[in-house]
Amino acid sequence: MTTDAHLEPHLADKPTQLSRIAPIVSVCELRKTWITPDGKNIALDGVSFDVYPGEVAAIVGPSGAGKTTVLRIVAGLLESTSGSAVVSGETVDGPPEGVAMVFQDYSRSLLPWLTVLGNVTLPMRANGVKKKEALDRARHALASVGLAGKEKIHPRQLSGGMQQRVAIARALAFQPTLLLMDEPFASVDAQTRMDLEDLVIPLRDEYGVTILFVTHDIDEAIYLSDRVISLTTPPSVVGEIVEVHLPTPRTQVATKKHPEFARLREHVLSLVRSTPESVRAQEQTLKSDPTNEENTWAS
Amino acid sequence: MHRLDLENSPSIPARSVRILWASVLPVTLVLAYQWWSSSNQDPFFPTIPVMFDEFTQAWIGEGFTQNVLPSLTNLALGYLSGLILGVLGGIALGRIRFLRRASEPVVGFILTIPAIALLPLFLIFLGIGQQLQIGIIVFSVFFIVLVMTTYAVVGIESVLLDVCNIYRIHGLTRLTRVLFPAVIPQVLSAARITLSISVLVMVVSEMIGASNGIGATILLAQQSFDYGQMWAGMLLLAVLGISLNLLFTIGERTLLISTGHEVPSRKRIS
Repeated sequence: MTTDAHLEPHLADKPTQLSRIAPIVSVCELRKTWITPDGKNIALDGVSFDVYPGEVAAIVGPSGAGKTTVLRIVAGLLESTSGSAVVSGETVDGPPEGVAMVFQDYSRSLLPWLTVLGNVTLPMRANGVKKKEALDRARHALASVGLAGKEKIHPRQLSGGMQQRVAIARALAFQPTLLLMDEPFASVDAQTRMDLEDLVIPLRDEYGVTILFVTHDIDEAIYLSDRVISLTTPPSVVGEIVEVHLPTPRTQVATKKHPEFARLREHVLSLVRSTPESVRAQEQTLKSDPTNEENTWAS
Repeated sequence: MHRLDLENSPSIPARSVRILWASVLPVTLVLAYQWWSSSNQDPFFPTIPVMFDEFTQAWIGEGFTQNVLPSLTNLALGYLSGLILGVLGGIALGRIRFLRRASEPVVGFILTIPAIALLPLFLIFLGIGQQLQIGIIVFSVFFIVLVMTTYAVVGIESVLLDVCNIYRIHGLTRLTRVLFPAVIPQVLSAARITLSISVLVMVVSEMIGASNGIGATILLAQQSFDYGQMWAGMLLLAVLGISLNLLFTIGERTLLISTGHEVPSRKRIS
C-alpha cells in the first residue's frame, strides 16, 4: 500500500504532483441507465474522477444524483451501463480485493446473531486470516473506535452510533487499501454524527487507508475531505472537484468557523444545484480558452 | 437478549390464580365424562380408569417396543430428513433464480395436494412397510419447509448480501454464518407447522398401510370392538402431541437464543 500521500498532508493540495501518482480509484465516463416502467431513466451520464492514495474524497450531489450508484459501481456491487471503474489498477468486475465498505443502514449490515467481536472477525476469517491474528486485529480496531470492552455483546444491545462504530471497526480490521462509505452517518443523531466524523480522520492516519464516501451533507463533506466531488442533478455528471485547503487538525468548532469553510460551503452548495447543461456550457467555454485547459477537471 | 419482561411475568399469586382458572374447564370436563360414562355403561365410552388400564396394557412394555417405538422412529426419521432436505433445497432455490423459476410450477402444484391424499400412490411406489411411513412423512414435510425457506432466503436483507460480497464471504462460511442463521426464525415456523402435520400423516398412513404402529393398533382396536384400547390410543396421541410441542418449544427457544435472535414472547389472550 502506498502511504506516502498521507504522510505528507499537503500533497493532496497539489494537483500537479498528484497527477504523477497512480490513482487508487479511476472512474471514467461512467454511465448508468435504469429501465423503469416509464421508460429509460438516465442516472449517470458520463461521470469521471480519480481518487489518490491516502486522501479522503467525498461525493456530494442533490437527491437522486446517483451518488450511491457511483459508489456501488466502484465497490463492484452494481454494473455500469458503460464506462469503467478501475480500483488499484484492476478494472472493477465484482467487488475488488482490498476494499471495505461501511453501509448507511448499520442495523442491517451487522449480523445480529454474531457478537460484536464475531462481526468484526468474520470477514477476516472468511479470507483465511488466522484466528489469533483476526482476534488481535479486531480487538485493536474496536479499541480504535472506542468500543473496547464491548466485544462479547450483540449489536442489538448497542445504540445506533455504536453499531456504526462496529461496522467501521469491521472495515478497518479488514485492513483495506480503500474504504468506501455510503452515507455512513446519515442515520444517527446530530451529536453522534459529529463524534463519528471526528473518529474518521485519526483512523485514516492510523490505518493509512484511502477513503471515498458519499454524503448529502455538504458541511460533512468539506469537514472530512481533501477533495469534494460534486455531482449535478440527474442525468448526473461531475460538476466540479473542489479541493479543500483547510488547516489540520480539523475540529468541529474551529474548522467550521474558518472563513475558508464558509466560502467552500457556499461554493459546493451552488455546485450541488447545478445541472448537467450548465456544466457542459462551462466546459465549452473552458475548452475554447486554451490557457484554461490544464485546469479542466475532465482532463 | 434476556430482557426482563415485566408485563408478562406476573407475581406468584397472580400466576397461581391464573393456573387455577385455566384448570377449571379441563377438570370439570374429565369429571363430567367420568360421571356420565360410569352411570351409562356404554361400551363405546369406557370410564377413565378403564382407559388408563388399557393404556398400560397397550402402550407400556411390549406394546411400547412393538407399536410406539416403530412409529416414533418413523416420525423422527421422516420429519428430520424432510426438514433438513427442505432447508437445503430452500436455500438453493432462494439463491439460484433459474432453479426457483423452473421449480415454481411443480412445487406450487404439489403444495396444493395434501400428502395424505396421495397415500394410494405412495402405496404403489413404496409398498407396505417402514419406507412408506417415512417416505410420506418426508414428502409432507419437505415441500412446506422448502417453500417457506425459499421465501426466507429471497427475503434476506440485500445489505447483508452486499456485506458478504464486499468482504468476500463465500461458500460454506456464507452458508453457515450468514444465510442459515438469517432464515432460522422462518425455518422454525415451518418446522412447527410440519411437526403436527407429520404426526397426522404418521397415524393415518399407519391406519391404511401398516400392520403395526400407533395408527394400525388404534384402527385394529376400533374394528375389533375393543373400544377401551381405541380410547387408550387417543390418550396416547394427546400425550404425544403435548410432549412434542413442549420439546419443540424448548428447542426453538434454545436455538433462537444461541443464534442471537429475538425470542417471541407468547402473548396470552386471557
